Amino acid sequence: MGLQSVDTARPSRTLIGAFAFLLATSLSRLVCAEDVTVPPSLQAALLAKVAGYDRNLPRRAGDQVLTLIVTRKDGDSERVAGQLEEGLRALSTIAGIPSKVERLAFVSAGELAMTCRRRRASIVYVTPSFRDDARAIATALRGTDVLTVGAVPSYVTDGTVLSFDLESGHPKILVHVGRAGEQNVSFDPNLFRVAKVVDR
Amino acid sequence: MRRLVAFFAFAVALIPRSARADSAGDLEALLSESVVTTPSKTAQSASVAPATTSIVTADDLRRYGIRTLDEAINFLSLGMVTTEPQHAVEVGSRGVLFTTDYGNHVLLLVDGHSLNEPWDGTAYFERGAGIPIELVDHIEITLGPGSVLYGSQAMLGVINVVTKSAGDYGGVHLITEGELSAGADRSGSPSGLGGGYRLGAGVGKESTWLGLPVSGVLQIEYYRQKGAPFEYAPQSGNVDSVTGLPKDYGPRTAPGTWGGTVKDAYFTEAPAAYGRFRLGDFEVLARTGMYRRGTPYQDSIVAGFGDFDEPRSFERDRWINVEAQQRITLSKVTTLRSRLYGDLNEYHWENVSSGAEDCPEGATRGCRRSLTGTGRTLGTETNVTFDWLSNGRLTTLTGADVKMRDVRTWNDVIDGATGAPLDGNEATVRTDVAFAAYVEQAALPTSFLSLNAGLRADDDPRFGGKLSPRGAVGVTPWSGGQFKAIYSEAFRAPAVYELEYHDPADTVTAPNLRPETVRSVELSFEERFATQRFLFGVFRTWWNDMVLSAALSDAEVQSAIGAGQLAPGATEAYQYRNVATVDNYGYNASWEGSAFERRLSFGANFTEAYSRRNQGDGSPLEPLTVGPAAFGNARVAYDLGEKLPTLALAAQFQARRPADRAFDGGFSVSPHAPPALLLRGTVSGRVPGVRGLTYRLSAAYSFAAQGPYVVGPNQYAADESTRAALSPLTRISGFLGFEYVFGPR
Repeated sequence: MGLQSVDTARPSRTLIGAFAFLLATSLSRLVCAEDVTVPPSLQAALLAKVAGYDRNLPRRAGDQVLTLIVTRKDGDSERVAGQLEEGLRALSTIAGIPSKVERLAFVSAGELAMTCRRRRASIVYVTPSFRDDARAIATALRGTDVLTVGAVPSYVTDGTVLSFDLESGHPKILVHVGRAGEQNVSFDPNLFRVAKVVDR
Repeated sequence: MRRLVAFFAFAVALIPRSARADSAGDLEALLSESVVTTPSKTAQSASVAPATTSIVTADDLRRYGIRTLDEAINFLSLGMVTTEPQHAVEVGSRGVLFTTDYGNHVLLLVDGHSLNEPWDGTAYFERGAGIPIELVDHIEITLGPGSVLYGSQAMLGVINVVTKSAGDYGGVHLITEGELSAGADRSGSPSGLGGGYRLGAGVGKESTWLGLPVSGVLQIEYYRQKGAPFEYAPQSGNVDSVTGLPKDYGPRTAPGTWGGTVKDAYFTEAPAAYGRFRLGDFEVLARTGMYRRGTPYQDSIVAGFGDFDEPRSFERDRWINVEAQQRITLSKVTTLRSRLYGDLNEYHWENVSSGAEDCPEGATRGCRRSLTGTGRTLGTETNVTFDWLSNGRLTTLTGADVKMRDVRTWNDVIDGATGAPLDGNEATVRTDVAFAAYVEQAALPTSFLSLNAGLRADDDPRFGGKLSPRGAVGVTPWSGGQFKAIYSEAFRAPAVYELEYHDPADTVTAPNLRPETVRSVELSFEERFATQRFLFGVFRTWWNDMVLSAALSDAEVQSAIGAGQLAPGATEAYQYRNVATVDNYGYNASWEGSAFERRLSFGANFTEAYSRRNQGDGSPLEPLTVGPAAFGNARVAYDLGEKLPTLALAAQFQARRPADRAFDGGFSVSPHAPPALLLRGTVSGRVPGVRGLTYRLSAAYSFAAQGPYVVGPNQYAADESTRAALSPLTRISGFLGFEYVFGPR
């Protein structure tokens, strides 16, 4: 009984070189892209439905729900913005009200708050790469009548009213009730049958 | 078809009125949408993914008393099934199961890392998977060929176990679990008790370091099981062909007789550890463990010989897997993912036999055989995603994977009386480098149409080159409805064992083996409304070049003797060859949902298939053995409230199926396993008054007493009176487990 010896290995220097290169690349880039766990297209559909639970939306929006997608010069931010924009445009209405979507290049939290008030934005969607600005955005928008939504789950604890995460492969809604109150967002209690409150 | 009509009638009748009329139905439907990463290596909604995928959630695992991957497959998944031969389970999909394949037709991933080892492609789905169940966030079960992105093994499907993040597994976890099971006497009635236990500890923590998020999860556990005792009817009158005396099956049974009660040879020992550590975008996965088990009988899989109730006969696997991965966003269009991975695997088999006919010449008092296979893998994979329009409507995934494998095997035979080596050798079987490149193009030209096409090219010294295409079209005619049409191919590279194994007594090598291949066409329709989801699909698959051990002709035997491959005097010999084909078609259906604010959850899955194998030797078409042609599961659970337990009942069904020796055993009555129905009831919840302490109490009952494996030395009928003895099943079992979580979460 036995087994033959076969060696078909090509020189492994190439492989080891590839390893070394990739390892060096990896270790030299200990940056942190923020995880968007729920695909933006699904976030768009969820956002449109959840916004319908905001009892102040019709008054705030008037005859048009304006959604501002806040972006910055960053690959993740721009890609998620594009995917969310595509998803929202496909819906055409939110809570039965015609929907309009615009991108807004982020300058500062204060500028964002001013733009929201001036443009009567109903929804502000914060794309990835705003981890360091989330609290400032929350502070600036305090008292502003707007529903803020974070692309990244942790944004809801840092600065938005709403975000989405995955739990066991299914999306879940995260709501910051205190911040909702500060931004005149009044959710129908039925939403809390399916949403998770993060500040309680 | 009547079964299918009944299935849907039952489903519709049970839809709660609240679900049909729920005004929040659209939102609930969105929340019940699954997000999967396996079919396209990127997160996407399951309804638009280019494959039929079902998800088993952590909640499902907890509430239905699931402790291992095979239990999750059997009680909760669509289209897949496992059988339990009292050692490593065998897994099949949609009516196709290849017995003795050691799981090498299914690709098993943990967080994207392949667990199929490089020696035989083996993957384990029970305790041998070494995956602490508390760490599992969800399990993605993708049916059908998946080589387009994953290469070899992904023929029956791809199972990806996704573990929890540190955020979802925060704090310190202490786990203890005890189990009892009843054995069976020769009539199949419960008799005697066996038991086992599991101890585990885990931790999950998030923090920051140099402004970067840092997180880690780690769990270690130890599982041990012994028994229960099973009694096997004596198989007597066996004569050793070497000594001419009644064959010696060891000290625990009379000469010439195999059978009695197994007290020590049925056991499992499985320590395991798994961890994930993350710093910024850089993540490291590490897994290690050991899986040692004893099979209480002779069979066609582990050993067809050996002493009765011999605890020194066992199988053992050991492994270390490490992977580092990173995602880098290069621009709004381009994302790069890279991973480096390394695996060490070892398989070791030992068999003690007192029978001279089982041993090399001269070992008249028996021998001890061992076989060890080791594999070392070092690889790297890089892929790039192009989101050409930066809106997800036109994306390209392209990547390459290169890995170096070193596989070795030892055979040893030791004289049972003297301990002297009788025969054996060490051989470096193979050191080779395999390369693969793949591309997948996805497009969403309209809001109701999705297109996906992919191709992978594998260049592997084991067999040459192989192309694996996949194409899928999805149509969404209305909100919540989804039609899919999928064409896909997959392959399994010849195992090193199949290529290189030889025995001068009766086996020659098979250096020219081709990969096994499968082509699949499937159509499915899925409808979601509120919390309800229905799926119905039809499929047809064609399997070619399936590897079997085939007998050589007389001329081939003489030629092999002449070439020095067989010993002079050999009269019959075998070689692994690409000889068999399988034709398979059928349908599957799934229904799952919840009601009463998700307190009531339920689901059912059913698959029925026609499968016939052509062995390529002129014999008539035969059904595949061991795997059921019809199988399914059903479940229901109700959460009584925050301080009260969750009650759950799960059932698994497998239709009557041919035993492994049904067509080649020569038995006067072809052995078939009876229909199997397994019920499991589970109560789970928080322990009142102790914050952080939860429990699970579960009991199971099998209505069937026998499985589809012929056991004992009588694998083939000696004469017309010989009846096959089938493997016994555990009829009654139960466990009680506690998990205590403390510290910051």
